[in-house]
Amino acid sequence: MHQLEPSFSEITSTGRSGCGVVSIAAVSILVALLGAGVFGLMALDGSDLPFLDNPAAAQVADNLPFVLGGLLCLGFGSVAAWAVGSTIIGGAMRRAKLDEPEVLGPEKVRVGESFRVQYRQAVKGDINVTRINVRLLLREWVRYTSGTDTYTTSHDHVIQTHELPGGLFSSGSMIIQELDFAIPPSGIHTFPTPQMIEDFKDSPEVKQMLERNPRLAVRITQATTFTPARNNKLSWHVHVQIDIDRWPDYNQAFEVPVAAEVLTDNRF
Amino acid sequence: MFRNKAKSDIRITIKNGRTIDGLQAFLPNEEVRGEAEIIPENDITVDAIRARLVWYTQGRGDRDMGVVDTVTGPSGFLTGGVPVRMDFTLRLPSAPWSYAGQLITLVWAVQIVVDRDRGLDYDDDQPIIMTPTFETLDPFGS
Repeated sequence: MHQLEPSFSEITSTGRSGCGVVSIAAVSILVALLGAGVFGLMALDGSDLPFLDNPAAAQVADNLPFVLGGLLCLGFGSVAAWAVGSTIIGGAMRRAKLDEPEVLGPEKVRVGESFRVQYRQAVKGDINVTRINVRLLLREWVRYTSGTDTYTTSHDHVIQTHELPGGLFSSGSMIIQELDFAIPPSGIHTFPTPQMIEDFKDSPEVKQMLERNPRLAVRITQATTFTPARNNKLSWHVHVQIDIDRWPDYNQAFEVPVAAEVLTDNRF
Repeated sequence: MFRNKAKSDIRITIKNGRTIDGLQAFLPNEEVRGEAEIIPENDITVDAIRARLVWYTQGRGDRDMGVVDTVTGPSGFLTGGVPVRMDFTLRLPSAPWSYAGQLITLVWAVQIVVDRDRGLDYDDDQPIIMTPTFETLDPFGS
């Protein structure tokens, strides 16, 4: 058995390349601080609107920018809080109750093959688990450009689901599961395959690049993006979702490499 | 199948494989044998006519592609209206397999490229299927 690598957390997500949660949070905080700064300066300046003679209207007009400024800051602040909270705080809260799991599975699986996954996760605080949902997913991931922007999106095909009962887990206990899955006989392998990546390194285009600029070529060929399929990927994952009563859910997928081979005689 | 492209007709005939949904289907690592017929509209000089076995992606993402095998055919002066024939035998690799999903479609094709010494190249392709099992092409097992 082999430790499966964590891959992603939420299923069927859509993202924008280079504009992650951290970027959203950073921009939101910056805008909120700028807004607060501008309206703070206005308040210090005691600026007025000269075309309003009515004292009541002038007072409303005086206060209006602060109200609008406050709403603006509140809006951006909420976005920032959501972005930061859902990742950093949520993650920290989950880690406060659950340790990182040990997920053991096969090093590679053939199409049509059954396989077993062993899941062990230490509980660090008393929790009431309402549901454990473990799914086998085939993820399609694509990257595309529109104008000068690059976007990514994905689609998850749920192939198999294990719905497991929860229960009360005390600090120091373990969540232990052994689950069987099967890649459908008509399924597809992980794309690109490791062999395709190796073949790509030996391709005439890459050899030409190596001859032209060896130093740059070494850096490029060592990058994870160096693959014949930079914009389209197919991958298999075991996704674990643990619903905890009055606590953020635990969501994590673990990649299962599927080889471009078909199992003809499946003996588990 | 005749495809009418600017300045050239390219006909690609696949001679082996099994037929699935009107396309020739092959197992991984099998040979693809066929014939190409090129009828240039005008007199042209070509560096070479090449038959290539390619895979490429279609769908939402930007295109990825790979050329896995190439056979080089005739070169030199081609007379307009006079057909030029070329036999080819190309070898499929073990992967990737043909696939049609929600965001990604993986397509295999035999591509004929008329590599001209000057001006734009002519090309056309004939899609094929590469699958390890001929029973069904349902990747989700539904």
